[in-house]
Amino acid sequence: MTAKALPALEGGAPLIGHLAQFFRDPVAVLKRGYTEKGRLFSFNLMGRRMNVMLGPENNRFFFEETDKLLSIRESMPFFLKMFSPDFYSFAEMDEYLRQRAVIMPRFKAVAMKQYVGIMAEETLNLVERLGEEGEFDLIPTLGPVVMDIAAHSFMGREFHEKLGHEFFDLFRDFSGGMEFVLPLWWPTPKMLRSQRAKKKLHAILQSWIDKRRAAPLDPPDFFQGMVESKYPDGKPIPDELIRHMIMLLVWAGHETTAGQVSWALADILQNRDYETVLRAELAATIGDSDGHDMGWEQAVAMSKMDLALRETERLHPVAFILSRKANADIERDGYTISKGDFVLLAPAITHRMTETWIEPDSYNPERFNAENPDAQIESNSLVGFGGGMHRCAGVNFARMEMKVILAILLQQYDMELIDEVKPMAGAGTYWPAQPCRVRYKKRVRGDAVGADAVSLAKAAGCPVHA
Amino acid sequence: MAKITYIQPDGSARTCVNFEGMTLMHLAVGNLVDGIDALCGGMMQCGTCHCYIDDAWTERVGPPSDDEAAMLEALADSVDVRPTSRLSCQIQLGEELDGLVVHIPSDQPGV
Repeated sequence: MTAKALPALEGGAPLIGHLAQFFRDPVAVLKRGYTEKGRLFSFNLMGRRMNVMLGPENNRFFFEETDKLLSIRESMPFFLKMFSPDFYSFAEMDEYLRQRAVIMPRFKAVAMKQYVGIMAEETLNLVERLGEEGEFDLIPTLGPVVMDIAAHSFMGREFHEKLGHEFFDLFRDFSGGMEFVLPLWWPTPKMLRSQRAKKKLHAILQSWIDKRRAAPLDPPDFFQGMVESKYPDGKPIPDELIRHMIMLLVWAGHETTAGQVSWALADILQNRDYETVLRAELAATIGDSDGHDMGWEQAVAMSKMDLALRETERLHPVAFILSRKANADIERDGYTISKGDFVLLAPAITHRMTETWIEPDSYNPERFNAENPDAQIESNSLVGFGGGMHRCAGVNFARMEMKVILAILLQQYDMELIDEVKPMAGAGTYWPAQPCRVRYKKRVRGDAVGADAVSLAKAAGCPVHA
Repeated sequence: MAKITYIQPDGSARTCVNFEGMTLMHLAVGNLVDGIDALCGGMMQCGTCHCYIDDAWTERVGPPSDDEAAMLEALADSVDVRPTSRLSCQIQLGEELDGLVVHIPSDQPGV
C-alpha cells in the first residue's frame, strides 16, 4: 500500500513554505486550505508538515485520539520555555496526573459560587474607574479586569495593594512567549521580554508564598490552599511548582478570556436586537441592581447571555488552532498522516463551515437554542474550549466571569462602538485589533444606590472583610 | 444534537443538550448535574465520574477500554460496580447517543 499524504496547499515559498503568509494572517491560510482542498489538507511551515482537520467528525477523532494516536505533550514546545520541563503537560504522565489532581477540584462547577462575588467586585472597580461617561478601548480596559479577577481569585486580595496593573503588562510580556511558528532558540525581542517577565513574576510570587507561610490566612483563600497543598500521597508540593501552577492559572485565565469577552461585547454592540433581548433578561434576573449583589443563581439563570457567549465563541474563537503531534502513522479517510507530523484543528474555520451552520458569518445566538426547531447543535461542532479529556479545565470559570463582566457593564452603561471591529493581525491569540473603542454613558436605573465595598467583599467571601 | 438524560441520585431526571466537544462527564459538570464529581478532570484516575448506562443503551455506548475496565475493577472495593458501569469521562458524545439515559450512583469513591 502506498501512503497518500493529505492534499497539500499550494503557494508555499521555497524552504519556508507558508510561513510568511501564516505569520501575516493565519486564519486566511487555513481558510484557503478549506476552500481549495476541503476538510483535510496540509500546509508547510519551514519544512514541517502541518495537517489540518476540519468539521465535527474530525474534531471528535482528534479529541478521542489525544493521548493515544495523538500527543498533546509534544505539540506545544513553547510551553516548556514559559513554564518548566517538569510541569503539567510536559511532565511525565504520572507527575502530570498528580499535578492535575491538585488543580482540578478547584474548578468544579459548584466551586464557582465562591468566585462570583470576586468577579462582580472587580468589575465594579472598573465601573468606578470609568465613571459617568467617556471612551474606553476594549482590550486595554477589559484585559486588566480579567487579570484582576484571575489574580484576586488565585493569588488573593493582596495582589491589589502590591502590584496593580504592572501585573497586566508583565503577563502580557510573559504571554509573548507563546510561539507556534519560529524555533524557540531564536532570540526574538518578544522571547527575551517573555523570559525577563517570567523571572520577575517568579520572584514576586515567591515573596508572596514566603509571606503566606510565615503568616497563614485563616480561613484560607485559594492561594493559601495552594501554598499548603500536598500531592495525593501527602508529600508537600515544591514552591517552584506552586509558582508554575499559579502562573499557569493566571496566564491561561487571562490570555483567552480577555480576548473572548472583548469580542463578546463588540458583538453585542453590533447587534442591537440581541442587546435588547439581553437587557430584558437582565431586568428579569437582577432588576435595577448595579450588579454588586449579583449571585451565582442569577448568573446561572441568564440563559440568553449563555447563547450570546456561545455565538461569540463560534465567530471569534481566540484559540483559533489546537495542535497535537502524531505518535504513529494515522489513517484517516484514505489518507495517511505520518508519525511525527503536526495535526491541527482549526475552530476558526470549523465554526464557519456551511455544511454545519446556516449563514455562518452572521451573528445569531438563537441558533444554539435547543428549543428552536432549526437549532444548529451538532455534537463536536462548537470547540472553542477544545474537547475530550483535555478540554479546558477553566471553562466554567471563564464563562461565569464573562457573564458577570458583560451583565454589569450592560446594566451600568449605554455603549456604542467608535471603531470598526476586526481581528488582530499575526499568529498570536486572536484578539480584536486595537484601537477598538467604546463610547459609554451611565444609564439611569431605578435605584441610584452605589456599591458598598465592604458588603461586596463580604459577599465575595473575602476573609479580610468577614 | 445529542440530548442526554441523567437520573440523579435522588431519582430526579435532568436532560442536557450537547453540541460542544464534550464527554458525558463534561456535559454533567457544565450543567451542574448532581453526583458527578470528576475530581481528576477526566483522566481516568479518580473514578468519581462513575455512572451506570441504562440497559437499553449499553450496546450502543459500547464496553470500556482495557484501562478503564481496570480502573472500574479497582473501584469495586468501594462502590457498587455493575456490568453497566462506565466512567463518564471516557464517553465522547456524538449524534448516535441522542436520547441516552444514564443513572448516577448515590456515592462516588472517596467522596
